[in-house]
Amino acid sequence: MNAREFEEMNRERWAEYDDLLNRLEKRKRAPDARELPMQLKKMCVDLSIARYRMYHTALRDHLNDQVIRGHKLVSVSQGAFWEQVMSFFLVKFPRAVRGEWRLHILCWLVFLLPAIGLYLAAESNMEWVKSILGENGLRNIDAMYGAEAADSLHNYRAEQGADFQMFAHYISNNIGIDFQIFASGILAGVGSLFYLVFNGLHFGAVFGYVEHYGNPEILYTFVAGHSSYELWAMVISGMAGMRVGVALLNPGRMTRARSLLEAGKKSMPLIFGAACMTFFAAIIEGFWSAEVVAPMIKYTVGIVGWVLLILYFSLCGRERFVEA
Amino acid sequence: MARVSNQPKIDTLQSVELSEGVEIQLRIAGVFARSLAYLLDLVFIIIAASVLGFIVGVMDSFVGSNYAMGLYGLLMFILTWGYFFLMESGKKGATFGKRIVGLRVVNTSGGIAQRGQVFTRNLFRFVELVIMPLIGLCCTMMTKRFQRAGDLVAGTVVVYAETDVQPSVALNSGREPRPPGWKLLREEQAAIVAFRERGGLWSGARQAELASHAQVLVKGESSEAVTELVGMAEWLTAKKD
Repeated sequence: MNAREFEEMNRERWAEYDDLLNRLEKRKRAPDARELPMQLKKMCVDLSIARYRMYHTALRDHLNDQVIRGHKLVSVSQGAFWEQVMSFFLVKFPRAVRGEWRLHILCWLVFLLPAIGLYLAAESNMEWVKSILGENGLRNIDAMYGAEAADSLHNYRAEQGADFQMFAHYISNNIGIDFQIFASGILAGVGSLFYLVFNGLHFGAVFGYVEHYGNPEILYTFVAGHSSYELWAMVISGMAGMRVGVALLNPGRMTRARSLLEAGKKSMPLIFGAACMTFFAAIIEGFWSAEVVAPMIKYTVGIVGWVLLILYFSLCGRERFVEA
Repeated sequence: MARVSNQPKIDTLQSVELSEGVEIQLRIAGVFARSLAYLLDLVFIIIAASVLGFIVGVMDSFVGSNYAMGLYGLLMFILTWGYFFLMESGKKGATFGKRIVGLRVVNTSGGIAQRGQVFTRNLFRFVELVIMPLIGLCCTMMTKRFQRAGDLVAGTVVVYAETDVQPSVALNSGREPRPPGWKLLREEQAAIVAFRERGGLWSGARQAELASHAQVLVKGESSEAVTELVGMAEWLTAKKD
């Protein structure tokens, strides 16, 4: 059979297939959509035949394109959206975090050790703190949490729309930082570690400085409510970045490309979950943390947040709770 | 079955085997096309940022500066981190720049990339193309499928969205079919047939030049070699009638 006879023989079926593709690609109604997989298989057979018999290039390219179009339509996977969201937060995310417990501990340490170190250093020697925060940083902190700054936060937040502006700022700034921590993990993990250490130092310096020279109550009541979600999300972003960095450094028995791909799959739920946590933190930080509320209530909310997260990450999605 | 020669490939076609058991060929886009698309996107982002700034500036006097500033912050966040993600997870799988150049993002097996994949590949854009552009460039040039690190992690490739049909005119046949001197590899047969299929638009000198690559197969020089090759192509295709 030569190419022309082959085309002649299949013309009708190819036209049907093309018509079906056109309708499906434009999201029109296609009652015969269930025919697609079968038709695609037939096209695949046609393509291999055309290749094997070395029919002319135009025909082979055309069949190749038609198979690609059909493949794109068939291989789309769409589950129920809300079901996916629920199963992500109740099962997939906490499991992913537990699955990387080594990196989890590592990232907490990499963040906490510099923070505690600088906090303690502030007691005896303020030079470290000054070198980390810089002139401007110190001035800002004095303005916000200084001994005489008792009401500046509330005064500012009392302005129309200030809460919204700060909310927007926390969203773009903090989620942006999460993304940066994760993405810089591609530099063999060094980038993620750098961001974690840097944030730890900054964190420790601010707390150390305010503890000794400022009004710690303003700072503590402000950060208590959202601290758990924000800090933990940052550490989880670090984990996600480190997963990619470690995959690059130590691919094991896989090729580096393969290992990166696997790491990407593993770190996806981590970074996505972290971004959601940071978003939640930004809502609290923007609309509630600066409200005038009795300090005890703020501290309680803060502690409840930490306890909830600890329970969430240690218990949620465990096999014995999840029905098969 | 078919024997395959070990010759290095001369094009960027990537064979991908589908679950249907057939191979399709993707045309992977190279560094130049992708850089061009990226530059166009940067221009677009700058324009969009200025327009947003202007609109928010106008709104400022209606809703108060705090709301306007907040809104601007949110929009800029969405623009910087979301532009590539939102555009590439759309139906066309391409940003404006990629659309202009004619590219799209697909997964390594040629199917539509999932949202998660598009999200991942674009997070790494920040490190690879914004902080240290050389990393993205080098990684793209060094990998077989022109993948930057984000593509490797996400399992995506950038391909030409549509195969451009190259105009081709067959060399006029009607020459005596002649068998080649010995059994040829399938790829060699294909090359000879393709020579006839596409030769019609080449100058005589170019035809002769290409035919001279088949010196082991043909005896004559220049135009005679061309005739011989076309004859073999005749024989190879006629055989199947």
